[in-house]
Order: sequence, then C-alpha cells, then structure tokens
Amino acid sequence: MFQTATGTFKVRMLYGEQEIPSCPKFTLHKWVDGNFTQLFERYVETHVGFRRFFIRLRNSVRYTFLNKSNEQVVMGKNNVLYEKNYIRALYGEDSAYNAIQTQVARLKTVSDTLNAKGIKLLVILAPGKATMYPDEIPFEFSRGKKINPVNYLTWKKELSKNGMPFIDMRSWFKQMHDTSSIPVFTRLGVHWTVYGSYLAADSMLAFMEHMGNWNLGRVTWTESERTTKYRQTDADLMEIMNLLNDLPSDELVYPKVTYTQGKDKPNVLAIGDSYYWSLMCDSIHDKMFADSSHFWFYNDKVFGKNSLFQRMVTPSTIKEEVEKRNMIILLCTEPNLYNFPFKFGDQLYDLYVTGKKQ
Amino acid sequence: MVFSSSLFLVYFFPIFLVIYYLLPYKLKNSFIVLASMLFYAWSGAKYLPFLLLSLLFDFYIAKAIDAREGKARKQVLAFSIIVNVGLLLYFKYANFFIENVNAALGSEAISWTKVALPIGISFFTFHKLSYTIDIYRKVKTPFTNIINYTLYILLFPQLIAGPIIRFNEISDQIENREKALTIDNRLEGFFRFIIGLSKKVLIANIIGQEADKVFDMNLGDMAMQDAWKGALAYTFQIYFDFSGYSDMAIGIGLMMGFRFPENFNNPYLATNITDFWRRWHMTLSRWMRDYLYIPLGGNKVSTVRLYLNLWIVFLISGLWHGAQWNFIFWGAYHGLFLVLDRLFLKRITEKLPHVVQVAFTFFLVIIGWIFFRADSIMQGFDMVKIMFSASAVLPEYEFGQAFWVMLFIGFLMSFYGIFIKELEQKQAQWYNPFTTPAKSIVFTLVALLLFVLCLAEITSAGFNPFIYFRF
Repeated sequence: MFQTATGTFKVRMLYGEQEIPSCPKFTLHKWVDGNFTQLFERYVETHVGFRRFFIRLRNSVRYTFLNKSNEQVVMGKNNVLYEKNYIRALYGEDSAYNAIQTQVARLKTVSDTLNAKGIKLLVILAPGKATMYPDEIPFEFSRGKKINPVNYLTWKKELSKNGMPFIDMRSWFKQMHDTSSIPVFTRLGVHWTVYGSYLAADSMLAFMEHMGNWNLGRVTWTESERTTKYRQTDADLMEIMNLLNDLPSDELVYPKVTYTQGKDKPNVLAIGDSYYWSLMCDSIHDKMFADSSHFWFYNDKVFGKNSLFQRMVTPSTIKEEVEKRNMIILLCTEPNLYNFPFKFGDQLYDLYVTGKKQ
Repeated sequence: MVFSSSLFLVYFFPIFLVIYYLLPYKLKNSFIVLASMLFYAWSGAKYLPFLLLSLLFDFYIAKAIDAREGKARKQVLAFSIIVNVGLLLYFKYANFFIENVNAALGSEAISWTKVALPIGISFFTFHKLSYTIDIYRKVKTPFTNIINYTLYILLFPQLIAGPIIRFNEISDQIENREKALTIDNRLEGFFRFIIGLSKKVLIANIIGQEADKVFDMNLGDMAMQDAWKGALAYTFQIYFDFSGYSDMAIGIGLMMGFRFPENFNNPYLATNITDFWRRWHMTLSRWMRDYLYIPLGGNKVSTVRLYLNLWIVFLISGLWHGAQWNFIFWGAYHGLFLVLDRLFLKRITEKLPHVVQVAFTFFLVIIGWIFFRADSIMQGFDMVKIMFSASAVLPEYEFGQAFWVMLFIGFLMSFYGIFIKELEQKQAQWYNPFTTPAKSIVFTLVALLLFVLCLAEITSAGFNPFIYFRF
C-alpha cells in the first residue's frame, strides 16, 4: 500500500508493458451488474506497489524451477525461444495455399501495370525464427510433425512461375545460419540479428540497383565488435520474458558500419512487417532512399524519415501514393505470409483492374 | 471477492484487520457483519437483498421454532426447511431440471429464462439449515441478537466456500471469544493463511494449467499419457485448491479469534473410500451425517435401507457440488464404493499392505475426479478408456519440467506421512510455530517469502507483454 501510494522505491520498467487501466468511475448500476468491481479489481492489480518487481520475480521463479515462460514466448530446447506463429508457419499449420496463388496472380498484374509506369515492384521473403532452429522446437509443438512451410513454398513457386522479381532471404539466411560462425539469428530473439539485417540490406540494395539500373549507396564495414551484450532486437523474446536477470546470450557481432552515398536515391514505398523495422532503426531506409520514402507497417501505419509515425494509411490516396514512387518493396517474414501483402495487392488490383474504389 | 486477489490481500484484509483490532470488543461483531456484507456485495451486490431477506426469515423462524413444542415445533422447522431447500433448488437446480425436461420432451418444451445463481448459496443455505435444525434439536438456543446471527451466516472467511460450520460448533465463539484474540492466534492464523494461499496460488493454479491443457483437448488427439497426466494433475489441483481455500478461511478465522473446524486430514492417505470421506471435506461429511444421514435413520435401519440411505446421501452430496450429471455420477460412484466397503471390499483391502490400500484408494479417487472435472459423463468414460488403452496416438504434451516438479510437490505433500504413526498429533506439533523461538523465526521468514511469491503470482496473472511494443 505504501509503495502504491508513494512510489518511493524505483522499480525497473517492464518490456512490452501496455497501457495500464485507469480507475473506473463508480456508479451503482455498474456495481450491481459487476462491471465496476471487475474493472476496479483490474485497476488494483495493475497498481499494486512493486508490481513490476513481482512480475519479474514470478517469471524468474517459473523459468528457473518450472522451465516455463509467459504466454507469448515458447521455451524451446537449449534456451531457444520462439513465438507460436513462427512454429505454426514452419509446419504449414497456417496454410493459405489458394489465397496465395490468387495474391501472386494479382500482384503480377499490378506489377506489370506499375512497370509500364516505370515503377518497380520487389518482393522479399524474409526468414522466420523457427526455420533457423527447427530442432529445438519443444515436443508439444513439433509432435512428430514434418517441416512443411506451405506458405513460403507457395509464394516462392508462384513468384517464380509468374516471373516476378523477388529475393528469397529465407533460403539464404537458413544456409548462413547453419554454416556461418556469425549469428544471423539468436536463440533469444525472434528477428534477424543486427548483423543479419545489414546483410539483408546489402543484398536488397544490390538487387534494387540491378532492377532499377541505379547507382545506390551501400552499407559497408571493415571492423566489428564481438560481444555477448545484445542490442536492439537481438534478444527481444527474452526481454518480454521480463526476468530478474538476463539469460546468457550467444556471442554476437555488431559491425561498425559506414554508409556510402550513391548517385541515386529512389523514392521507395516499403510495405512490410517488423522485419523491415531493423532497416528503419539502422537508418538504412533513411540514408539510401529519398526523404519522401515511406514505410507502411502492415499497410496500416505510415512511417517516414527518422522512423517517425506520420498517420494511418488512407486507402483513398493509395494510387497517388504509389505512383509517385520509383519502387515498391513488399517484405514479409514466414508467419505473416498467409496474409501478405496485407491487402495492398488487392487494393491496387481493384484500382488498376476491376476499377473498384477504395 | 476471492482471498487470492490483489484487492483482498493488499487492501480489504489489511484494512479490515487494522480496524478490527482497534475497535472495542463489543463492536467487533458488528464490524465483521459490515465487512462481510461488503465482501459479499463486492461480487454479488444484486443478490444481497435476497440474502438479507432470507436471513431475516430464518432469524425469526428460529425464534418461532424455539417458542414452540411438539408437533408445532416440527411443523415450523419443516416450513423453514422447505423454504430454504426450495430456494436452493430453485436457484441452483431449476435450469438443470428444465434443460433435462426439454431434452427429454424435445427442444423448448418449457420456455424458461435462466436463473442466475447467487454466490455461496450452497454454503449459506447449509449454515441456515444448521441453525434452525440445531435450535429445533435444542442443541443451542437461538441468538437474541440479530447481529450475532447474521455474523454466523455471513462471516466472510467461510461465506463463499466453507468450511461448513455447524451452528453448535461456533455459537459460543460468536458470543464470547475475547480470550481467543491473542497474538499467538493471530500469528498462527497468519501462518495458516499463508500456507493456504501458497497451496492455492503456487501449487493448485500452476498444476491446474497442466490439467486444463489435457481436459480441453479433443479426445481423438488424446494419448494414454495425456489422459494420465490430466487425471493426476487435476487430482492434485482440486486437493490443493480446496484445502488451500479452507486453510485460508481457518487462518483468517484464527486472526479474528475464531477456531473453525478442520476440513481436510491428509485425504490421499485414506485406506478406503469410507476413510477418504472422513478426511476429505470433513465439514460437509459431518453436516451430511448430522442433518441428512441420521434423520434418514442412520445406522438404526435395515441393511438394505442403510445402503440405500448411504447412496442417497452421496447422490445428494454429488448434486450439491453442482447441477450437472457428472457431479451426480461422481456422488453415486463414491456412494457405490462406500456400500461396497460395507458389503465386502473393506474386509478384503484391510488384509493388504498399508501402502497398497492407500494406492488402491488413491486410484479410485483419481477415477472419480475425472468424472468430477469432465464436461460430461461421456467425456469422463472416454478419458478413463484412453487411460487404459495403448493407442497409436502420439501424446499431445511432453511431460515437461513444470509437470514433474508440480507432481513431485503434490506427491510429497500428499503422501509424506504414509509411514508415520500418529501423524495427526505429530503434524499438530510440527505445524505449531511456537514450540521454539527458532521455529517461530523460521516460520515467519518462510511465511513472508511465500507471501511475496504468492503476491508475485497474483499480481502478474493479467500481464501480457506486447513484443512489438517498440515497433
């Protein structure tokens, strides 16, 4: 009660903490129907003094004695952490075979239309965590199942069949993960490592350069720092476990990068999931592309220079937005492929082919 | 409001205790009544008027019973029983009855608006019946002070989930417990409360998650290992949950100066089902014995009638737990083994080694719990079938560290006394925190540690971090 009232002792913040509910207003009616008491109990629970410490304590006790994590994180063997949807994608449990075929066919039409307007469209299939660590998936998720990433395979097959330009980073990263001494994925994170994201960026820029016949800037490094202290999202799953002490991290490599400017800075619209964020966080998007370039997170939120949120995507202006670009990048990791490219393809298909208004 | 909530642990109970201890003795009962009303109204405000009206009714009807003799006395009691049992039947079983009638006659043969169940009705009805029957039997005289009577029914530690305290067990404490308001009782109560809270929060809730995984499974996907895992997990969950709640109630009572009857006595050490019911939910068993089994004739009837009475008591006991066929089946199942014990089973099992008797009874109890936990009798039978058939289905869940740790704790705490003679007396001595100063210090430190761990569990329950918060 004392800590709740005064907040005297500083308690470490939690990762992934969402908005804490405010005190509900009392009305007799709400009390009688149970609504007030429910909200008030939730309010009390979230305002208990030392709650943040309690949450870390509870999570640490559960992790140490029961080998359990919180709901969001799946504990694999050898301290490899996952999210459930990555595992489902690996076993093809989120199969959207027919929908993907339709999506790619539509994208092909859209791509041809854009191409005629001088706008390039590039699809990037990003890897997923479960693909990198299939052997550590816990039994209750693997349960003798065969690896069958249906959505990834379908996207790859359909993109090839339709002759659309794409980068298969999944295969490349899988190969690097299995052979390279420098981690491109970590046990404790769900995204590609900072190092991996530089490789991805370099590969993407080279591909774009070739596609657009541009001279783009590049990300280069001659020296790197080796450390077990993770940075950025390299242990994001461990962070949301909110333990008292961090789990031991693998040795990670953080390149000291320099950005060389090219002659061209295309105006890019990138639409993707959280895997594109590392390119935003490392300023690759800002430094290599025109200032007016955008990242549309899940085709929903618009982020501009310095990763600043600008507004929500407005479907009515999509055509205008697209046609002022030099290139459209669609990037997605495995568990989101069932829903990729987040209705963007349908919207453009409707605009250019069926004539339906957004 | 439940004991294992932040609101109760951090605000309601500490504030209650501070005021309770500061108040002069003569105001303490009134304050308990006020706090109990708030406790009840917190979750069941809409039922409070009903509860208070029914309390008034029984207060005056008890006076009417006390004022009469002979046939009239019996008639007033019968009226009181009919009203109380009638209300219980209406609120708790009307939906069940109509659903079954509709299922038998065809859908919606009787149109019906579902009745909401007032919280704690099974427990406060039994308390009210105990009050009027004890007065009828002249075991006790009725309270003259309505506050004391209301306190007996509403006393918040036992209001929602027992223990079921017969009126004659507590009436003297309600009227006079000044001498029981000692530091020793408060401390003992605190330790007992923490033990109960830990059983509920640190054991039952965690092992319950393992049980839920299995009972929520599609039966077609369930392997033998899964079924056993679920059955064992639930067997320990229900014990630590219920006995934990009883410990908390007993502990709170002690802190207030009441000594409630024990509700559990190492039930999984029972050597037969008859013995199990002497150790499990003891206050319910005693209530059933005093207010149902004995009025039905007790042991002073023919053998056939005796067996029938036993079975009736257990069918009603099953139904009391919930208005579902699987509870009735569970009651009938235990009733059957009680009758079999009297017929021959006990004579046979008594010849077996003690450990085998305990293991056999534990096995029977596990099977019973499957039906208690299952959504339907059929699900129960299917699960039992899976437990004894080697299927080709791969187990859905790994017997991971969490399961093994909790199973170990469950077994240890349930069976550690199996080879100890005069266990009850020894347990009373072991658990007495005041035998040596060192023990008092250790108990205090352990209790504080457990309290912090419980608070950590409780306050963390609703925390779901969002991994993409930074994006």
